[in-house]
Amino acid sequence: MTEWDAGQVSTWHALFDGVTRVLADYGTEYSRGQGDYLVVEDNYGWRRVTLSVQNLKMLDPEIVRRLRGLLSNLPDWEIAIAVDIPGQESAWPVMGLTLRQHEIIDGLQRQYFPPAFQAWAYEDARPGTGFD
Amino acid sequence: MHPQKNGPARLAPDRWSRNDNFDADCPLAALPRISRPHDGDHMSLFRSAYEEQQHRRFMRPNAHLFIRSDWRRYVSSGHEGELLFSLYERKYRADQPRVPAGSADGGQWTDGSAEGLRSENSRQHRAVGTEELSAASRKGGHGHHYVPSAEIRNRGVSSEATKVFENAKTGALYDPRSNKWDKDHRVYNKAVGEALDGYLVEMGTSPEKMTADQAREFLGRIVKSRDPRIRSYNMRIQMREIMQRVLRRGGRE
Repeated sequence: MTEWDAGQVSTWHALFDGVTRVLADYGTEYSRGQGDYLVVEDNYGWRRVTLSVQNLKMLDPEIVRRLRGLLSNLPDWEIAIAVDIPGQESAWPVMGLTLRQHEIIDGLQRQYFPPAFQAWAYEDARPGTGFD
Repeated sequence: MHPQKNGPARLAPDRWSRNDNFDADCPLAALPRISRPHDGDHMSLFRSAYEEQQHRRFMRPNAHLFIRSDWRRYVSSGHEGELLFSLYERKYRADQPRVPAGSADGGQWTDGSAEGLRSENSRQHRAVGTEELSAASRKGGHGHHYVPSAEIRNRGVSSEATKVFENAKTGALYDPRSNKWDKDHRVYNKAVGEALDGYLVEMGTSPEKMTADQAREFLGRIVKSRDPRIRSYNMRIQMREIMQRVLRRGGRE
């Protein structure tokens, strides 16, 4: 394992643990077909932790703010949040948020959301895609 | 297109990395393209079918014919492309030796090294079909878990089986250019979880009593699974990774 690899692995685990802790305050982990969020435990070697939300309440700006706060000392890292609502897999397009220290890529297509969730906005957000 | 006609040197590596169309006579033109960022969702079914067709093609016994025989002229020693090309060359070589019948690994392909065949890591990689990605795993990343931890944790699977599952990973992946908001992971988790429940019922055992051997057998089933939710996900990762090695670096970095 190279020095860079070792650093990536330890940082990834720290960020993964942080994300898991934050989300646990607001919902339950997806397992056995139910839950509010799923943090992908696969470290592919990239500077990214990925999660998906199965309940739109997990996109609350307060939760997003706390997650982004985990990146305050990690300028090259990001947290990708995919919207994956059971039952809407085919009906809803691919969408989500990418959190970085200096910005948020907002790819949410709010027209699909119930009215209660359509007004949510995020600080330092700009429109974009999952490839940005 | 004749596979022997032209070499990788005809295409500049930066062109490959832009996902442009390949020259029709490029020896790698038959390989799948990396997904394009602006392809619509309506393309995903087509891509899956195309990738599956290409995957089958390169799993054929004569798959090495699609790689020109003098590829070493274009691939520097030690480059990761060397691994891919040599794997094709070795994996499908008609005269490649096999382990003699009568041993536990009887019939398996071998490079002639009995030590290698006895190695637990080697055995595990073969069991989960990740030989092609083993070089990546040595680089320190963890990669894709064939059996997701969340599905193990919440079932109370035995520690020895959990250990087997924890070690069954692809290793770090080279290609980060997938859609970060991809939704398939949860579907994969759910499908593997259902398969695990079915396996435990079939074996007449419980998660707490699952043995390491049973875990390895279940892993094999996951890798060979015909469930499209499982198969397409694993196949996509493997194919993307193989193509990334061939296309992005151009075999010459």
